Amino acid sequence: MEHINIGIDLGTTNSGIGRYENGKVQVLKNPVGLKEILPSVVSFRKGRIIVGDKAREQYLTNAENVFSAFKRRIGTSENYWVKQENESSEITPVDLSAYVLKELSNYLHNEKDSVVITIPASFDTIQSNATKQAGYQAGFKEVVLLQEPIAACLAYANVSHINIEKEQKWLVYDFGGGTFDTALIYINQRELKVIDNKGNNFLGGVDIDHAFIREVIVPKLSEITGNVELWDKIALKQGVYEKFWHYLNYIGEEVKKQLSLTQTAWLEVDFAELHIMTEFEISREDLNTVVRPKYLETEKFILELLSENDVTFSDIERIILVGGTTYIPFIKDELKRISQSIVDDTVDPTTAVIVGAAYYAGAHPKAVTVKTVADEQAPKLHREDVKISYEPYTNDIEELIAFKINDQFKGLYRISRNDGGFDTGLIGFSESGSEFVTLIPKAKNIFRLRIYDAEEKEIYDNADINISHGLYNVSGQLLPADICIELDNNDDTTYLEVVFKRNSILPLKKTLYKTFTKSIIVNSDDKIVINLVEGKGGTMPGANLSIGYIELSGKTIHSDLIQGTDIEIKVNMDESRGLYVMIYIPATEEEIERSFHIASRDVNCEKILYDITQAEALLAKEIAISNKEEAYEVSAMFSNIEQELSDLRKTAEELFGDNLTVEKYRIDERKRKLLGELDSLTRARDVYAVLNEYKELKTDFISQEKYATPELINKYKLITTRENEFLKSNDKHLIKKMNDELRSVNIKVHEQNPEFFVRVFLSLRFMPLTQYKSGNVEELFQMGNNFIMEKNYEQLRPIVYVLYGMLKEEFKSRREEHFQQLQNVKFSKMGLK
Amino acid sequence: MEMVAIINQVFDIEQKLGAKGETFAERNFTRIYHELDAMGYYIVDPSNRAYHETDTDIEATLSGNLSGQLKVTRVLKPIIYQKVPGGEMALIQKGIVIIEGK
Repeated sequence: MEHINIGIDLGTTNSGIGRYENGKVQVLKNPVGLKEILPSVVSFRKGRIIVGDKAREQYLTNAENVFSAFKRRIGTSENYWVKQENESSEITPVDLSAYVLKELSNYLHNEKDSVVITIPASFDTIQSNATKQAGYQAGFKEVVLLQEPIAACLAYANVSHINIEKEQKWLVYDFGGGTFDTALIYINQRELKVIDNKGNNFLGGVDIDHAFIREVIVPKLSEITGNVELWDKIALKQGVYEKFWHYLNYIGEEVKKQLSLTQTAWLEVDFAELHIMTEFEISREDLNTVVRPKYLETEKFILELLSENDVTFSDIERIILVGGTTYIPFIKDELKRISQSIVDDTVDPTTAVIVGAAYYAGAHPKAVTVKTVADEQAPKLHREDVKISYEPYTNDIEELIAFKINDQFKGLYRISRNDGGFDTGLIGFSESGSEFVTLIPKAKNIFRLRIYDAEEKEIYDNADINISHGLYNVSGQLLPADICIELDNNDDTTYLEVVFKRNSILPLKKTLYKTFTKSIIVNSDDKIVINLVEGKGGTMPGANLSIGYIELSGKTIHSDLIQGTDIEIKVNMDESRGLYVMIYIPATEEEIERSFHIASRDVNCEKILYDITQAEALLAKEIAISNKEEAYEVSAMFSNIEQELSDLRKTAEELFGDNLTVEKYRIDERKRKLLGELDSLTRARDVYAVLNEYKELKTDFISQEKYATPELINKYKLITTRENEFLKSNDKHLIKKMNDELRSVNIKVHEQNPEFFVRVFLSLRFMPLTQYKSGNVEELFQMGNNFIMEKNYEQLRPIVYVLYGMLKEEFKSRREEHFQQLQNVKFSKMGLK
Repeated sequence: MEMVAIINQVFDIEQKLGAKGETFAERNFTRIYHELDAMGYYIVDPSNRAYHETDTDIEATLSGNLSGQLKVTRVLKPIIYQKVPGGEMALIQKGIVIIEGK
């Protein structure tokens, strides 16, 4: 048994659509512009039909062809006239409503046959039927109507899981953008019924907005600027004052929203054309002076409604709020004051009717739909029937998409951009069409072309039109190898981080933001090294070709550079692979520039010896391990390399200082070759080890997942969605970096688990007092015990950290992973991380 | 969306400094936008862009002299996209602009 599941609020000012699924309602977002609320405005211009925000924008340029508030006329014979070029055509409120409904149905993918549409409680049979008609015209096969106040009550009842034991009376207070409605609702376990309702179709939030500008903001500005005629000029809306009116509307709205949250707000007015640049404070009281009279009008309706039905406020269990204007605190407060009932705003008042309609739709079964033969055979266009042409790569901010259909065809098309930032609306065409589309700069833009037949049924949908802006330099050279920068690890070694990837198209530029891992004091021998190499990311730095080498030493800098200072490194590589490095240190505003060209590569003897030393240390370790594991063949391979490196070192040391000889290039090459061999031997095994570590860390997280906060789950997801990328990289440092990130997430998750701190506290508690430095250790033990008994884990945590800090250095266990974080392990070779 | 609120404030500060011709904070803004990009936010300033009614990435108020070439003369809030895993973009804030004819 299928249910309708889709509910639509077709409002006077705004409309929306929601879907019921698995017990919950989701208010759908417009794929164009990603908003939940669609203004009920339709405009016609040059054959283009636009619905929503963009239609509303045309109030000034195209006022006679922009239509809104047509809900007020639905069911009457008062039609509208659309003037296009030399012709005028008549359009009915039903037609206009159908366009809005059709636009909303675009938010759906499939389920377009049955829908629930809401109507005001005051609608009569003719108005109701006209609304149904609009639904059919929009392409829905089945339309079920629901009264708005009932929808609102359903939303509240369902979302707040209110249990109705006996009968109750609720009051719906619906204060929207353009209209006010109030309804008296009878509710019991089985049914919801409108007893009576009252309202005013011409009283809404927009009246409050205009009064706020006219009676509060402008008088204040007149006072400040001394311009007494300010409002008069604005009212005439001429010239620059018209622009000022729109500007005031915008800031007025922002301040109004702010005053819903705070008692006072600062209004900043910055309008150069009238030389107004000022700010002043506005209080909620100021806003309330214009809200009060409007509110009193609504109060009159409520009181009349109640008295005409012999009901008093004490009979009203709950007042529920609908419509954006009810965000204003004054209204809520006044309602509470006069009614002494619960004034409920737990459901978002701007989407309450949509939500209620969707709940209703979720419980309402679909009428059996008879699929007509015509439906099954609706002619569709195939990919090959439509020829599309466009530039897939461009540097222009606008591009042309043109298309042509093979045979004689008359219909409509619509081109939109997948992120929601571009939409042509429906446009009529015959056989071929074209449109200039705007692109997001420096990004891949994905467009969608839909084609409709003359009856506005969709017959073609292609969402694969990709146009990339500025991302490719089509006539560039390829980079043959990675370009990397050498950075410090935490353990006295260095690694390579990729700056430019192999096969990227030259020229390339990138800015790196790094920090110093050690201090450099002026005039000392401290130094940091910036080393750029060409080779494979993730391999041993010494195995690669150094193409750019810069030293920042105490002797060359002007002021001390402290550990932790930021450094900006801009790296540029031109088409002929010339390297240009620009260093900037914000703290001292020092700038250093260097250029490097392959032809004049420099080799630093000290660096060669350093690299050999690093390799020898590694070899010693490897040989020991292989011997222990009795892998004598492997051990022999390592020993060979060790021997050759040792010979190379001797040669290098002899040449040290003799910078002019060409030998050093040969030595450098030999060193790179040997280190490359060493790297290959060790890398596969190291990569395997870090991959295993990653698996273990993942398992750890999953086992503790229930303690993870949404933020931590998000961080975990960010790491795991990039899994494929770094697991296949064969780059042990990259994988290790991911592991470190995941490890810190796991630690934080463990910290959310109260048992963890209890365990740690107990292990600290039972360590002998002699292992602690002096201090009030006993007191802390006592406090900790108390907190455990009270199950106060929040307070236990800082006790644990303090106790750990009081342990003598030698007893700080390095087995406990999280304690490792508490320690500061610092080894810096390059000076950068 | 707290990040959107922060981005709006950053943009506002940049505009105010730009209006006064102050360039001392340019590097800071480059760094901020770099970090925002790493977080997946992409900000576009549509100043001086030609106006098309098909541009649904902005909420425009048309004002003043509307003859001639229409373009964006003032940006009150920038356009903000968010990169979704998979490389695609989603619009999360429409730019709020004023359009005038020149």
